[in-house]
Amino acid sequence: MTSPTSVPTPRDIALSTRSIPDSTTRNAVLDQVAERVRRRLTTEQDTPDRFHAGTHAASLTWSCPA
Amino acid sequence: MPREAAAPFTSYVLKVANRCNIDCDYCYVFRSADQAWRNLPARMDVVVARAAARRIAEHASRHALPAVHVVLHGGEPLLAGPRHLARLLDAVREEIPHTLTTRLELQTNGTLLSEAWLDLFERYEVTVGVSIDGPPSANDRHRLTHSARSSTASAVRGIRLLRTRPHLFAGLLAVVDLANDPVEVHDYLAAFEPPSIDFGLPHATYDAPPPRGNPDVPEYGLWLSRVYDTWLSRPGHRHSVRMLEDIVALSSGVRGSVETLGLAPPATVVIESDGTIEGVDTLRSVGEGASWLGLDVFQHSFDSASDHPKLQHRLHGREALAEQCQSCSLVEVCGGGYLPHRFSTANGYRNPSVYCADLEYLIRHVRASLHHHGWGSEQTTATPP
Repeated sequence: MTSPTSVPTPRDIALSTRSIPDSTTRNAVLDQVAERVRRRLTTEQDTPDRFHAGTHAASLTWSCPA
Repeated sequence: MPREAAAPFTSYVLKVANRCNIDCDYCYVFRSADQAWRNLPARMDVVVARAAARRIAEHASRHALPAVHVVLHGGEPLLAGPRHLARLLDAVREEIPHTLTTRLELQTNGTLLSEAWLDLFERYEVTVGVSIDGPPSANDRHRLTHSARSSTASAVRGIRLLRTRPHLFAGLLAVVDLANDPVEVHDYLAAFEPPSIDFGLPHATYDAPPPRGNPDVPEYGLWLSRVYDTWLSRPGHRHSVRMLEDIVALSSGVRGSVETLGLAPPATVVIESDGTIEGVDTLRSVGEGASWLGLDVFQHSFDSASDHPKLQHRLHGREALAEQCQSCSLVEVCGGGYLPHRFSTANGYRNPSVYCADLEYLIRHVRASLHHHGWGSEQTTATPP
C-alpha cells in the first residue's frame, strides 16, 4: 500500500480531465452546498452534547435535519 | 486503548423482506460469502416489528434522543406486500411514542413501485430512495433479473412514478463501475431531479480487491472526481451528491456524515427479518458470520449491541484504525474508509481502506476545488464563504 504522501495531487496528475481554472470564482452549486453545510455546522454547534453519528450507506436521508 | 462513551443508535434498518425480485451480482445480501439469508424468514413478522419498535422506544428514552430514523430495507422491501408492510408500520407507530420524531425511509430497486405503494407511503410519511447504477448500458452490467434480463425499464418506470410525488422522493443510489462514464452516469441520474444522488464503492476487501485496470492509478478517485466536476458544472440542477457533499462538510468541520466517511461512530443498527440484531450488515461481504452478534430484539436491548466486542470500533474512533491512518492528515474526512473495505484475513480491520489512494485523490481534488472557490486554505479546514 503506497504512503498517502506519495500520491500526486490533482494539480500534478496529467490524468485529470478537467484543469483547475486560473481565477477564483464563485460556483452556484457550491453556494447551495455552503448553505447546507452551514446548517449542519450550526446544528452540531447548538447540540454539543449530542453524538453526530454516521448515517447508514443505504439511507439517503441525513441524520441532521436539512 | 481509551474507551469513549458509546454513541447511541439513531438509525434502525428493518429488513422487512429477505428476498429480492432481481439478482444484482454485487449484492452483499445474496451474493456474499455469508449466505445467512437462506435461513432467515422471507419477510418480517409483525411480532418482530413490534419488538424492534419497543427496543427503539426504549433506546431513545434511555438516551434522550430527539428523533430516530427507521429505514425499511431488504432484500427488496416491496416484496413484503402493501398490506403486510402497512401492518409492520402500524406496529412501529403503535410502539414508538408520538412525541419521538420518527423519520421513515424505504430503499428499493424501484421495479415494483405503483400508485398503491405511493398512496401507502403518503399515509405513513415514508420517503423512498431507489437504487439504479445509471443509464441502461450501465445499470444492466450488474442489476439483472433472475432470468438475466434488464431491470432498468421497470426501475425507471418506478422512478418516474415517484417523481409525481416529489415530497416522497429521497433520491438515487448508484454503485460505481469504472466501465461506466461518470459524466454520463451523473447526468442520467440528475435528469430525474432527485434531491440527492449517492455513489457507493463496490464491496471489496484485501482478500477480494475491487476490479482495477491499473493498480497504480487511483481510478475510483478519478472517476468520482469527474462526477464532482460535472456536478459543479451543472448549476441548473439542485441535487446534492451525498458522498461528495459529505467530503465538503467534513472538510469544513462537520462531524456527522455517512458511515463510509469521517470518524463519527456509526449510528445504525440492523434488525433482521427474524429479529436478530446486527451492527454493520455489509460485513457479510467480508465473510460468513462477520456481521452476526448473537443478539435479538426479544432478549436484548440495543445497548447490548453497543457493548458487543464486534462493535468496539464505534468506541475507539481513530485509535481503532491502522497506524498509517491515525497519522494521516486526511483521516478526519476519510475516517479510514468504510469498515468492510479495511478487512484482510491477515490483519482483520487494522488496514487502510482498499480504496485509500482513491479516497486520498478524491479528497484532495475536492479540497483544491473548495480553495479555488474561496473556501479557505487547501491544507486546513475549509470555511464556507
